[in-house]
Amino acid sequence: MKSFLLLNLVFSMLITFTSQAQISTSPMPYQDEKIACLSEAIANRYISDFNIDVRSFGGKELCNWQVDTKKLLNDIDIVNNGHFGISGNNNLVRGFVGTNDYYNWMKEQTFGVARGDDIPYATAYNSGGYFTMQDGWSKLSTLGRVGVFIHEARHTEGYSHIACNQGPYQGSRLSGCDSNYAHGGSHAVEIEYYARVATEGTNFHPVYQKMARLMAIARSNFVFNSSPLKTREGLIALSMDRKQAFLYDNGTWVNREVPIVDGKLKRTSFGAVLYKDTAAYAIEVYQNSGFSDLVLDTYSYFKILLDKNQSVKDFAEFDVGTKRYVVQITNDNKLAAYEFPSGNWGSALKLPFDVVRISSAIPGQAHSGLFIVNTKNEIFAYQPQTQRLVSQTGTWDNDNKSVVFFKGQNYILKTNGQVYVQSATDLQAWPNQNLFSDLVAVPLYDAFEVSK
Amino acid sequence: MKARYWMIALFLFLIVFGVEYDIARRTQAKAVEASQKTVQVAQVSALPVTPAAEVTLPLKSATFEQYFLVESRQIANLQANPAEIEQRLDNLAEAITPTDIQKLSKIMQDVNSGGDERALAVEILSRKRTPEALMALEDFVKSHETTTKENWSRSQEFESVMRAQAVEGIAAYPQKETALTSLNTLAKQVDESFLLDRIARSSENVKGNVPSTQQQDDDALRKLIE
Repeated sequence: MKSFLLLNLVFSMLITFTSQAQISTSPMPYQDEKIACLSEAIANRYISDFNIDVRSFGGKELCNWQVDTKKLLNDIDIVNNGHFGISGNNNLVRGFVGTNDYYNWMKEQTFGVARGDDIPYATAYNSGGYFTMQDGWSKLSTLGRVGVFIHEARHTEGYSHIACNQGPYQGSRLSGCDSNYAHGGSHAVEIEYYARVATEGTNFHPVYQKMARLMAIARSNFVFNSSPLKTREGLIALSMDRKQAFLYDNGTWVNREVPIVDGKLKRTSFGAVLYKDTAAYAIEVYQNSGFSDLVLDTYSYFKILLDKNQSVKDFAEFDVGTKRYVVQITNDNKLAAYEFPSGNWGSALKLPFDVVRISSAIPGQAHSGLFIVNTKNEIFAYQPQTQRLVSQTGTWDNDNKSVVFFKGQNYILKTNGQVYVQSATDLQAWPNQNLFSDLVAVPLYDAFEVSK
Repeated sequence: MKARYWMIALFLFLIVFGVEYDIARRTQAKAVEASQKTVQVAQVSALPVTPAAEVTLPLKSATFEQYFLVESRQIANLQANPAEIEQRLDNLAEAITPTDIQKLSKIMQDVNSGGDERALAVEILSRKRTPEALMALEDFVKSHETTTKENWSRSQEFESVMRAQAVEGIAAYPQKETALTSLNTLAKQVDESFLLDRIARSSENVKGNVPSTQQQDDDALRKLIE
């Protein structure tokens, strides 16, 4: 009997496996790739219009993608036949190049195109209207190559780059930025094309369009000394009795609920928290919930403290360029920076003094960072890239409760609750405000509405 | 007593037979469904230029690679009907196996692969929406080297952009808790502020507080000059 049932089970399992094997080997047809060849007549037209040195690109090639000529001709074809729908001026589409003028405009700005590898760190360069596409160009995605071609064309009109004074390339020996988007330089013209493809393109591959959207957003953050797409800043202040918070946004103050807990007011990557021991309680900056429950901040880097159940003297997260840093100062005055790739704290640096406070700004210096104050009120700037402390001139005034850098100026909260605004030449009381017990600058995301 | 045993044996036999029949019927339906999807893929593969001979090969590794190569070439072509491509990408994502996911993961990570191939690999994995695909995307974002003045290049910027694409794929994962866990993990292991911004926006989207990052981007790009 048992063997009979066993046989039955084996038999049924065999049927099941056989059926699955049939599915996995079922036919799946595909189309040959050679259908994407360019016609001889179109290729000849592009070669003539742009004075392409075909030989330097590997000889005339209409089909094979391994040959750079095919890549270039295909890119020009995309420029020539890409269609855009309804157009209108907006953040990134400003009409530097007319919607339907790309081909003719590029033809006018291009006196010749050749392939070379003489400047390996460049993707391409423009010398008097003659473009030389480097190895880096060949390795790019199609969108990247098209973007580079458009970028180079703008240089012919006399637009060159300047040194970067913000973003990831700040301090680079190469001049690779434009002052701002409105200047309409090579970066802006390239990004305008991406923005058009993303928002108005009608006949592009969805992946090409998605990449265009992300390239527009990313490069807007990277290559301008004044970025066209910014996260705006606001201020969060605590009332003197610490039972209420106030958000300053777009020139007006709005009330905000605050966790009733004794703790330090801190800026986070997503707003503000009240931080005490191993816990950080979130302040909802965008709206009031109507509930007074304490909500642990589980999003920002203060969560690292919660996860590791560490008690520290102080903790800060801040950006330098486009890189984020999280730093803790332990109760025995050791400073450590969080190492993101490994997910652990880096080696701790023993500070040669007792830390009494840290600040994101100090009077007299119009920028934010991490400043450490010792018991003698001496101030040291922490440089996260080199892990060094640099002594600053002057001392911390004990009458300063907090100092924050906001919209290009320092806002100094005094112990009496009054806020003063420090310009290059003077210090003036901020009019028409309540008295506050604490103050921080917070990031406000453009996509989130601040309800009154 | 013997008769009772035979009754039980007969009863069990009928149950097993019934289960076998049901399994066979279901797998047959799946096979039909799969072949219909295959036809759909073939139909939307038609391109606006001279049609070439259609080759039919069994669905094994070589076929997927060829399929993938053809689709990646399409990124460089203008499309008469982009909506059809969306459907084709969904079909391709649905058809891939765990082995294919591993292959896509390698393509995505390989800096020597073509830019279009890598972007398509991220796209297909984003549309696959299985734990294996999610893990591949998460690992891809984790492996990012922050863009700085020292490593600045177009290709380095492209690395950031592809990671942003992968973050969108993670945020689109159907199980919200899993997506949030993944995004929270990434937020603690990525230190490039552009990507951290994308992760933050995606997390808020998964929580239902804001529209998708694509919608946020479109709104930002379309915003009229004030």
